[in-house]
Amino acid sequence: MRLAIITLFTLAATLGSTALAAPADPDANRPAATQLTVERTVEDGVDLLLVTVTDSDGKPLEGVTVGAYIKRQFGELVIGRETTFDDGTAYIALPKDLPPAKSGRLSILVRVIEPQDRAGSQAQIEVTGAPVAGADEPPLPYRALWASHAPFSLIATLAVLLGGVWSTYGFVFYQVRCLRKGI
Amino acid sequence: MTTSITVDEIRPTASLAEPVAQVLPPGVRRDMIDSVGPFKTRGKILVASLLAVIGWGFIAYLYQLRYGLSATAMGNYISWGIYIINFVFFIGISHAGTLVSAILRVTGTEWRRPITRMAEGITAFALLVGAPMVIIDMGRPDRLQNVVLFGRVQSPILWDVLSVTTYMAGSLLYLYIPMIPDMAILRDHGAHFKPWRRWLYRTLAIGWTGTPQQKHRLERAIAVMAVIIIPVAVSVHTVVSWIFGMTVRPGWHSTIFGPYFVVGAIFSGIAALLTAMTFFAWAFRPFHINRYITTDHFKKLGLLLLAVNIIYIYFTFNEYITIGYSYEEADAQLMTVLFHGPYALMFWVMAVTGLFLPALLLALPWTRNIKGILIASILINIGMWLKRYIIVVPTLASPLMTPDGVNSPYTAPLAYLPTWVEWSITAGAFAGFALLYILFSKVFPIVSIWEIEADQNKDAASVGTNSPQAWEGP
Repeated sequence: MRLAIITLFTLAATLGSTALAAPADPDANRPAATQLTVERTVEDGVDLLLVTVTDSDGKPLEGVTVGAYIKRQFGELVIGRETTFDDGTAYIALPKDLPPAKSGRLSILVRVIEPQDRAGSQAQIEVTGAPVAGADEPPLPYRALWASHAPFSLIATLAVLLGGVWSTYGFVFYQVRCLRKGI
Repeated sequence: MTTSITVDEIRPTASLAEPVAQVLPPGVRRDMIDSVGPFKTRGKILVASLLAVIGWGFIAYLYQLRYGLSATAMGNYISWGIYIINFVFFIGISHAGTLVSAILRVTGTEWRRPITRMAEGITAFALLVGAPMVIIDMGRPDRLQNVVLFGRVQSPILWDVLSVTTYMAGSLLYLYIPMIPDMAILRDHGAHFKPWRRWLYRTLAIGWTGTPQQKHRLERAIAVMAVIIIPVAVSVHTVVSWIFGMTVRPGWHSTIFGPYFVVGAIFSGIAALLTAMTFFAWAFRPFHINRYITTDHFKKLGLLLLAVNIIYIYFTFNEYITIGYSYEEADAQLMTVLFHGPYALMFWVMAVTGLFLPALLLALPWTRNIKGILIASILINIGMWLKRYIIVVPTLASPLMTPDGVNSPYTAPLAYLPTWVEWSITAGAFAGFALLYILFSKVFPIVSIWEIEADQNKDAASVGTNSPQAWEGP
């Protein structure tokens, strides 16, 4: 109850302060005009993301920290962070073992982290993901208990055990029911 | 005692307006009917104290619901904490009812009669409190539906849900069925109780009048339940052990874990029962409970506890000598942590005061008295809680792949120190168990009236002083 009241007051206070605050400058939190381009490249056999950061005039920006992320179910998976050179480029190594989404593609988000006034600017690139581990291997001749599909023997064992116990409970329950009816 | 009374003998003489003490001769029936009355002052204080602890635990749970599992000390590496420890502990003590009631009933051990209901009560209430610990551990209780929606038949977690649910249903049934004749006895003295109690006893008595057909049905139901509940109980703690044993982690991946857990459960279950017996022997003195629960019961159960204690020491030795001999890298890390690392104090306290000292107290004839057995029982249950802590936490603190820059179990994220939220919920759980048990003892006879009377009838019949048709009970 107390918790509910505190929550209510906190909510009311938050709404109140929002309403009373001076109107915010809509451009205050907007990142400075920044352009990002992302390409996939291979150098010396290493898979890389080439990120180029420029301002609105196309001038390369040096010392900008960029991060590459993959959107996963519970958040963003960080795959790397780098700072741009004087030509505005940064190279982020692309891990080889990232499994793709169901579509077979991997969507990578590159975002400016620093400086603060440019933070939030982002670009996206679609790449092919790593081959699914074991996909090209022949299926095992047996199925382990923990395999993705339970073997029939396990399902049958569980069903028999549980069915046996619950049937016994049912029998006992029937006895109690007869006892109630006096038969 | 060679005299006995039956429902039929009581009815014609019992005036509903008279106090029980005036219409019943001294005996288990009178004592137990007196015992289910309202609380006295000390009882009320005890209940209020327990409610306060439960309330605090509930506030802590609300806090956890609001802020998530970050309110606990659990994290990516130590992903199970004292909630799972409590779960294993409560499932463990729930085996009291299985062993003392079911096994002794099946084997026809007569001295079990006064203590069966206490044991069955421990089973039911320990499960009612222990099972929700898993839901609390999940953080988001709504995710329980995922077990139904996305449960994998091949996962020990699902087996655990199924077996605990089956065990809980069976335990409640096994607690209730032997109570039916006692409910009828209380129903027949309905004028002495408040209306809600009269309704409750009438409903739970389900029309029991003690006809031969009813006795036959009841005997059959109890006998079947006593047999089926034993493998169910054994399977439950085996499946609980598999949650650990089927994970390839040092200290967990062991084929001995099934029987090790079952023996541990029986061990702590008997100790819990002995503690409960001592409590009731003290709290129910005005109701002459010492006529039914005698020193003999303590000594017999004490010897049983000693036997299981020795078996448990054997299993523990077996476990550590095996991994200590091979001393694989991960095992070596675990053993270091346990024997002379951050968990060494807990380990040695468990080993010395939870295993060896109780064994000594139970083995020596001059300490094998009620006081000595009670101390041993309390030490055992503290030791068994610590043992579960030692099973769960140090293994998680010894991962096969350590996080970057961390190689010491003393530092985060490998260190685990439960937060106030976890301790509060734990305290609330223990208080909840105690409250359920105490409330049960004030609503239902804690000693089975009809089983004691049946035993007395049997004694009387054997010396030819009573009807040869006297019901001996199952």
